[in-house]
Amino acid sequence: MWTKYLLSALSVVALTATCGELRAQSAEWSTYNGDLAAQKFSPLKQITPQNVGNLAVAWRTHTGDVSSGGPPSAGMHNRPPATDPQADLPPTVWSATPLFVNDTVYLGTPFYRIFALEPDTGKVKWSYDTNAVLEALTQPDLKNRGVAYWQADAPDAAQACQKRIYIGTMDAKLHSIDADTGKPCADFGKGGVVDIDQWNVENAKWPLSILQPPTVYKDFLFVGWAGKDWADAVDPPGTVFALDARTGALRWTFHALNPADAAKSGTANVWASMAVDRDRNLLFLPVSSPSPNFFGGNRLDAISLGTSVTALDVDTGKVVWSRQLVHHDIWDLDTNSAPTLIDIQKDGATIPALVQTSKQGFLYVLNRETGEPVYPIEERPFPASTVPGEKASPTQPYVPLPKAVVGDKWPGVFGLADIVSFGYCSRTAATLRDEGRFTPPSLEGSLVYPGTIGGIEWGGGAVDPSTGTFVVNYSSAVQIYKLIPRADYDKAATAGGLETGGFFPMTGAPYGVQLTTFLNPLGMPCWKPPYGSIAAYDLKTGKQLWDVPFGQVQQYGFYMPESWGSITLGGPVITASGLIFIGASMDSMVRALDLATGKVLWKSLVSAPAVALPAVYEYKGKQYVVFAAGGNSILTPKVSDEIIAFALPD
Amino acid sequence: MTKISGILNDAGAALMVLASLGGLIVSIFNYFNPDSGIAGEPGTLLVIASTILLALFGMALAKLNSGFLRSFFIVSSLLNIAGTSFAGYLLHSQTLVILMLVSLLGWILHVFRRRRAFA
Repeated sequence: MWTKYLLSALSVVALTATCGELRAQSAEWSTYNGDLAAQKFSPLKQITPQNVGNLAVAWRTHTGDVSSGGPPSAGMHNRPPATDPQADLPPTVWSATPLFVNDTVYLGTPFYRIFALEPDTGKVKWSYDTNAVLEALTQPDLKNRGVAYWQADAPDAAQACQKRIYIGTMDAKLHSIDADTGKPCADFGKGGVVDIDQWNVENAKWPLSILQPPTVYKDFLFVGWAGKDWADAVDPPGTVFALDARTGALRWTFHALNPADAAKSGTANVWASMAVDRDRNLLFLPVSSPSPNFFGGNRLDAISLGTSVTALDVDTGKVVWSRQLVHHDIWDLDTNSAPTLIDIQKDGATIPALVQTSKQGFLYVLNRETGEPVYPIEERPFPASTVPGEKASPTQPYVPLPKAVVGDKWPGVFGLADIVSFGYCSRTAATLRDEGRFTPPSLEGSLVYPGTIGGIEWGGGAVDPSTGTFVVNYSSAVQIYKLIPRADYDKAATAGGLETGGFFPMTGAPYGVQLTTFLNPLGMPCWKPPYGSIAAYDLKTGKQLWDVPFGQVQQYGFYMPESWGSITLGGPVITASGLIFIGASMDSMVRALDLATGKVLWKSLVSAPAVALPAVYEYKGKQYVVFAAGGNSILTPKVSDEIIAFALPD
Repeated sequence: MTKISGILNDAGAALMVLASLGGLIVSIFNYFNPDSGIAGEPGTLLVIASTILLALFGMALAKLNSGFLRSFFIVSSLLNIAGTSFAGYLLHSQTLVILMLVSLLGWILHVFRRRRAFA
């Protein structure tokens, strides 16, 4: 087996010798993004474009940790909350990338349990229950993006906890578990648990939810958190904690806001995964927007680290460089995925670069040593706000190359949606403020494109390091942002009129907000398809190679035409054989695409949308592709607890 | 008994009834099979209802020789077959689409056999 691994690794090295030290060489999938460079690339080649059509289910397992929401009698949840067996459970969102490491598949669940599975059968080796509170403390759903793995440099088999699995909970507890036995590591925090909320000392309105697994490098755990920056104007200020992987002791803290900003704003947190440049000892953070999401009158002074990609020194947490991607963010355009690190061959030179994808649809290609653009980024003027108390940034960074995945103008009214709604779409569009990209939220309602669910979400992109081909799936979604004066908002809230319809209070700000996706009364998108696509770029030139609709919308069970594509959540992975594996679409399909053309070569139905990155690994000479099919209420109410592995038949 | 013998005497109507009952079984299976991709979906319920209706239409056509009701059921059956086929296509239920094509064959047989009979 080891000979096979070695040969596999050597062949990849030989093929990609000019591309630096970042490439994945492992048959494992040891982190959320496959590796610390967030390339989402596997060097495995057993499954090829020629034989992928033969791919079959190797095993499937159900964890039991799933809820469609509501009371236990509504079905679809198999484990009552620990506190009250009769209490309602929120629905589950399961975006966990499975890990394959230590000859085991590990995954976390939305009930905050860890499962260790046999990689060739899916049989449960052990499971661990954090006994977390199953309440929607900061998110509307019970949510988990998986687990993290650490091992000592020279593991001593005679000692416990030389290899560990970490999982966070919505109530801010970080658990450390022995990867071999499933027992808590007593030397970590108190009895294997660190309460991250002990450092939630400013504007502590809600717990610092650890939904994204920590990023692990050397003996550090880098821990970001999620919150609810739509609820209040002033929130816990954004932080990232570096903990000792063995003891859980705090090594350093990164603060995204200075004390003055923290007193009147909050968040600018890191809720997505991070990347690490081992050679340069840099940690890259995707920093989200400051609070509240859609009004910035309380934070008119520039918050330079908000909505940025920021590089820190791994050992000290000091900022090495930071590049703001959206100035004075009032659109909730959180930087939402780990940047992909890649050495680019350009003009005869090797550039240590990163690619930061974004909700706004831009691909920011930066020199990761300095943060300077590899392809020029321009400051362009954008519309002013008309809202009293607000002052939109007069300019925003604009990326001409690589071409943004979505255009500067929304696609326009979809004739079919307009006709079947008797002109609702065109009538509504005529009443909205629409001045293209970065149109500020307004009192009359603004068409925002791309909006907070659009462009590129937390799956980010994947890269083939041998060719510099970068692949990313994206959504084309039009949303309406309407600010509502505080008195009117509170009056409606008191009357019970804000229970549905995307209302967010932003308490403490002079406005609440209604955020809706631009649909007609029948639920059809009012804008022209495609609604989701996947595209490939050549990072050596910045040119787009192909761009095709991806997935299918499914409404009431009916699949819409393939040319319409689907809103997507989740991301792609690439294998060295020239394949892309991806779930992400709302039709609950998982697919394999040809990296050269984007053509779908294989697809299979799973029990809910696979809104996580798949994992690719090899075990006993066989290549597996594993998806967690968990669903996400943003796409469809369909949820599941299924983890499913595909492989070529023997 | 009369109804059954009426259907059996009319191969076209019989084919319509059988195909629609086949479509009903397939659709019920899809509705309850979590791996169908359309389990529990309103669209699947719709084709369950439409195949039941089509089976009833087929039975009625076997009984009726002429008149407004017969014309109504002939047109309604054709619309039902077209609608169910389209729904089956959108539901990715190829079996249902094939069964609706068989049902269409039955409808054609029924209509043209009757025409010849009355010519």
